[in-house]
Amino acid sequence: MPIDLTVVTPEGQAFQGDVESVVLPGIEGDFGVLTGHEVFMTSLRPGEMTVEQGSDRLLAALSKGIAEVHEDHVTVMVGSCEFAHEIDMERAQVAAERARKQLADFRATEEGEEAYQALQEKYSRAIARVSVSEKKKQ
Amino acid sequence: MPSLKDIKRRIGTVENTQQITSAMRMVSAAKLRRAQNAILAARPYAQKMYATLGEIGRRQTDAEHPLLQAHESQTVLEVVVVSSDRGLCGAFNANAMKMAERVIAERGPAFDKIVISTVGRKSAEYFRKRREVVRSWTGLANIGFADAVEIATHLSDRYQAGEIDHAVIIYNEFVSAMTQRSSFDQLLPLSAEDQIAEAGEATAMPFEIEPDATALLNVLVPQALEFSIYRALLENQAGEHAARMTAMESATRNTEDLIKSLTLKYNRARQAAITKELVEIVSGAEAL
Repeated sequence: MPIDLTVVTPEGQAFQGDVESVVLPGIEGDFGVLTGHEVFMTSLRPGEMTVEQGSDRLLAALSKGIAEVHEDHVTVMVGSCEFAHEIDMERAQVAAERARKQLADFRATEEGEEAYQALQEKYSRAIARVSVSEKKKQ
Repeated sequence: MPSLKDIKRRIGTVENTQQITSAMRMVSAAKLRRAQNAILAARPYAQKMYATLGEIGRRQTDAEHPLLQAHESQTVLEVVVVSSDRGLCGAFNANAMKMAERVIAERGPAFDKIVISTVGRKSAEYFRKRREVVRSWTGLANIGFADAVEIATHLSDRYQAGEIDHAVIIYNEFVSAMTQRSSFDQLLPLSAEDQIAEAGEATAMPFEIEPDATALLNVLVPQALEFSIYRALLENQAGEHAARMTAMESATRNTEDLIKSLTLKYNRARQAAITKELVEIVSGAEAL
C-alpha cells in the first residue's frame, strides 16, 4: 500500500501523490517512512528529501520545517522545497560558497546564538541544494 | 480660441495617454490575477501551520519561546510599513501612510523610541525625512517567501537581542478588486492565543512528538512570524495591482470624455472656419 505524501510550502503545494517510501531530514537524523509507520510528528532540519515513486527516485532540497506521519499520510510543511530539476547547479554552488564564507566570517568576528543559527541553516540549505543537483547528474 | 491645428494636436496627445493608461490597466489586471493565485497557493500551508500550532498549544499550555514572550521594559517600537515601489495607484500608498501615522499616534506614547522599517519605495520616501528608518527593502517585484524570511529574520534578531520590544506591520489588505483596506497586525511579541484562534477547531491528533514540543515550537514560531509577514506582503501586492487597475480604468474613462469634448470643440471650430470663409466669399461677391 502506498503512502500519500503531501509537501506544502507558503508558495504552494510542492508535491502531492502516492509514493512507496520517503526519507526525510529529521532534526535528530534522517528517517525513512514506509507504509505502516508509527504516528508521529517531528521537526526537520534543512536537508535532502528522497522520494521513491514507482521506479523513480525524486530528490529535493528542503528548508527547515515540520513533518507529520499519520496512518500512511505524510505531510511535510517547509519554507521551501526544490526538486533536483528546479535547481540551477552553478547558482547553488555560488550560494553555498557565499554562505560558507559568511559563516566563517561570523565565527571569527561576532557572537550571538540566534544569528549564528540562522547562518548555519542557510548554509545547510545551500549544501543540500548542491548535493541534490549533483546526485541528479549521476 | 485655439486654432484647429492646436485642438487636433491635443486630441492626439490625449489619445496617446489613453493608450498608456489602458495598457497599464490590462497589465495590472494580469498581475492582479497572479497575485491572487499566490494568496490562494499559500492557504494549504497556512491551514497546516495553524492547525499544528493549535495542537501544540493545546497540549502544552505553558509553551515558551522568546518570540512569544513580552519584554519587561517597553522601550522601542518598530513599525514595518509596507507600500508599493511605484505610484499611479490612487490613494493606495497614502492610505498606508495615514494608517502608519495613526498606529504611531496610538501605540507610540507607550514607548521611548519609535523606529521604522520600510518595504517598497513609497514608504521609504515618506519616512526618510520624518522618522528614523532602520532598514528599507525595495524592488520586491513578485513577492517570494524568501523576502518574508529576510524581514522576519531582521525583526526576530533584533527582538531577541533586546533592541526592540514590540513590532507591528502596516499594509493594505486586499478585499476585492475595488476595495483595499489599510490594516495592521502585531508581529512581536507573537501572541500564542491569536495563532491558536486562527487554527479554529482542529481534529485531535494522537501524536507522538519527537523529540519534544519545544523543538517543534522552535521551528513553528519563527515560521508563524515569517508567514504573517508573507501574508501581509502578498495582500499588499494584490492590493497594489487592484488599486492601479481601478485608477487606470478611471483614467482611461477620463481620456474618453476628454477626447469627446475636444472633438466637439474641433468640429465647432471647423464649422466656424467654414462659415467665416463663406461669409467672406459672399460679401466679396456682393461687393463686386
